[in-house]
Amino acid sequence: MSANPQPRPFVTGDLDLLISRSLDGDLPGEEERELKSLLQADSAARARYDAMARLVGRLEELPDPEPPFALSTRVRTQIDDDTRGLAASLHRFGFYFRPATVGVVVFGIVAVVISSTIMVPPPKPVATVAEATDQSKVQPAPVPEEDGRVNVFFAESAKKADASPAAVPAAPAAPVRIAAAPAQNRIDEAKGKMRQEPVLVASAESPREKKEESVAFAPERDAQAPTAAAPAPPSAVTSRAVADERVAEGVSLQKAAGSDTTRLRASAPQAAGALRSAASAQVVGKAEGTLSFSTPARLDGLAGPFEGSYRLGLDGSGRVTDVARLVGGSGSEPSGLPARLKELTFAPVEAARAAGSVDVKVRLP
Amino acid sequence: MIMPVRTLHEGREWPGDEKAVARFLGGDLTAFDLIVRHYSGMIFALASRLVGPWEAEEVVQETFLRAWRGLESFRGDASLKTWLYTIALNRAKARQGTLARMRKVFTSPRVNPEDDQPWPGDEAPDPAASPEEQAVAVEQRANLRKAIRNLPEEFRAAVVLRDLEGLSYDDIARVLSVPIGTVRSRIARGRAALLEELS
Repeated sequence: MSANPQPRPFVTGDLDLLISRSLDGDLPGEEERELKSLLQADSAARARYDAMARLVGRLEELPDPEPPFALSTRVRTQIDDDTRGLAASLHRFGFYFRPATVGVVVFGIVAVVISSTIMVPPPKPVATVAEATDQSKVQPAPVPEEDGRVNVFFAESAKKADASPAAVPAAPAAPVRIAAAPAQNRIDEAKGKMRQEPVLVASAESPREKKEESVAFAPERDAQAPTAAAPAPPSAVTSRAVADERVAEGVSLQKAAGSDTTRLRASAPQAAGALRSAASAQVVGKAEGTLSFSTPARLDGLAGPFEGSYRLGLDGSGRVTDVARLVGGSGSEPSGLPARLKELTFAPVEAARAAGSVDVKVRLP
Repeated sequence: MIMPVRTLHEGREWPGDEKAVARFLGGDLTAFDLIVRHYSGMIFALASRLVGPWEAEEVVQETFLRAWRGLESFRGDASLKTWLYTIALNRAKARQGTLARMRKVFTSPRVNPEDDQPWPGDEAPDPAASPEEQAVAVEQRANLRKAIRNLPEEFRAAVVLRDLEGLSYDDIARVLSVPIGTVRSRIARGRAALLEELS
């Protein structure tokens, strides 16, 4: 057994790997010595080593390609063009938004918007039946513009009873007064019946010779008063108007300026408590929605046009003790109006007692 | 009294990888200008050797754009040069794939019209050489570059990174994301293939 054995033969791949690693200084000492002894013994291996060494030398001497003129400037300009916008601005403050991050954020916002749009709850009714019994929760609806026409809307259920021309008042003269509508009206209104598309069963001009004083009307804000507290309507027409919640809601009477004719006027269905621009006295201010008339106000015989606000002092039983006109309004005040306002009483008594005073707005067309 | 003259390059000296990255991450955008100025030549050289000088500028643009967007993910485990080389190599591969598909559609896949064109700077005269020697040198360089371009992709990248860019085996392993044994093997086989190509 020889103490200096012949180097074991290499296959070409192994030899190339050893030569390559040797040229790069990657061979450990033991393998480097083995390779040297092989190269001394094998001329072909030596030639391979020399060829690869020349190749590596040529590669290392290969000049670097010259970068084009102003390459870094163009690169910087390109980056500025591609990163312009909010992200680049925020970057100046140390905030970073990768494109993927921005995408996730945008997707999240879109998802939230879509889900909130799809999952929006159905519109809440203006008032529930239970709420309808509570006067304070019923909000007034806007009053449509008057056009001088008489449009009478009746419900299907009331069609047979009230569709006759008798709905137009022909009764003898009676004071225009503020009457209380049945409390049931408010319940039905709250059910939304009145807010649905009305069924038009009659539409006619009222006879101009009908006297305004011949009918009473139910104003919009008096529905809270108990039915028993309302005085009996002086005419059949008024009776119908008060009895039928739709008439009570949608019909009012007005006196045409400069004439004695009375028009039975119906507007579009309105929410409970809606205000009309016909002759009326209405509660305004903080007490609105909590106080209502329990005794009708006589507004007949008062010359208009006039519009004014009054502060009415109340006693413990809801009676008006003093009347003070507030600043503003239009037209000249009818002489008998303060006295008429003193005839008013308000309900409920507890609320009137607590309020001490109430503001009302009077309008005479 | 002579006051020092303030030069245009004052404050623009290369501060080193770590400081340049820290300044950029702190919101100093001029630090990225320094990075571009310092590394654009190197990236261009690498890209030229991988895809040719006529496509290299595109690779450089894409490389630095990616670097801008992803520099906050640079953790300093490797040098900034190695990190940029990794991006450049991937962009070069993508660019080469796109070019190969285009050539396949519009021309013969075996013909690369750029192979026969001298590279910019290759024809610079060597004052110590005769015109004949200069012509031979230019031809030899062109042949060598053509041989490099004809190498299989994995061998070409390994040989270029080692013999032309001078990266260590460890850095090449990081750039190529392969074990170091694979790097040794690819370099050796790439050199052997080049010898065969040039013989």
